[in-house]
Amino acid sequence: MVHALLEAHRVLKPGGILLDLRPATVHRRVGITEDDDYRLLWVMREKFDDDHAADRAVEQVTREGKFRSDVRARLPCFRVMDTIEEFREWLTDFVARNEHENHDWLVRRLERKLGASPVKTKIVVSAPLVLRVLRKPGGATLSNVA
Amino acid sequence: MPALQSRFQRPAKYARLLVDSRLTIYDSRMTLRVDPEKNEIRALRSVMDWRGKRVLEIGCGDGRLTLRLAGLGATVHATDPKSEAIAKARKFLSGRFAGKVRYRVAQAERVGYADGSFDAVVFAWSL
Repeated sequence: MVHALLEAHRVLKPGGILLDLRPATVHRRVGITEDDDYRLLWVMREKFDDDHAADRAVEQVTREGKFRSDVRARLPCFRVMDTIEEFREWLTDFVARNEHENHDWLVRRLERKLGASPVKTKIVVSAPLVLRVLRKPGGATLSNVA
Repeated sequence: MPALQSRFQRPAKYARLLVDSRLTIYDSRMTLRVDPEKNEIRALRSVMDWRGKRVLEIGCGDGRLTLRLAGLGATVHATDPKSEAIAKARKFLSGRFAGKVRYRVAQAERVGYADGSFDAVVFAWSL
C-alpha cells in the first residue's frame, strides 16, 4: 500500500491531490424500511485488517512529508434494495469478499419480513464511508478544495 | 426516498456526500437506487473543479467511478491489475466519453505514467 501511495506521489504534479475513498471501519447494518419506519435486523461482522493497514500506509507517507492531509470526512452511505434478489446478490458478494460464513438465514428472515408486510418494504444496507483528501506539497493550489 | 431522508440524512453533517462505489452494474435504474440524490457527484464536485483536469484512477475495477469523473469534465486514465475488469470497463465505455477515458492494465505500484503528469489521483475502495 505504501508503494502504491508513493507511485501516486510520483505521478502527481506538485500541489496535486490524492483522494482516498473507502468504507469506514464499522460493521454494515442491514435493516428494512416500511413507510417512515426503519428497523435494524442484523449487523454484519467484518474484518478490518486491510483497512487498518491502509490507514497506517497513509499515516506513514504523511509523516514522511510526501502528502499533507487536507480533508477527512465521514459520510453516510445507504444501499437501498427493492427485492430479495438484489439483497441476495449483494450478500453473495459480501460473504465472498469477507470470507464470511453463510448468511442464508438472514435472507430467509428478510423474505419473511417482506412477505408479511402490507406496505412497500425496502432493504437497506448502511455503512459510513471515509473520504480523505491528501495534497502533494508544492506548486499551485487546485481550486475548490473543500 | 423520504423515509431514509428523515431517518438518516437530515441531521448528517455530510449528507451531501453519499457514496457507494461497490456498484458493478451500470444501468441507470441501479445507479438511482444506490445514489438516489446524486450525492456522489456532489461529493466529487466539493473536492475540486474537475474540468480540464488530468486524473489517474488507480484500481478502477469496471469503471463506474471513472465515467463519473469523466462526466465532471476530467480526462481520466484508469488502471486496474485485473485484465477482466479492464475489459469490462472498456465494454461499458460509451462514445460520449471515448475521448476522455483511457483504460490500462497495471499494478498500483507501477502505473506506467510519467512523473508529475496528473492533477489528481483517485483510490476508490482500492487502497
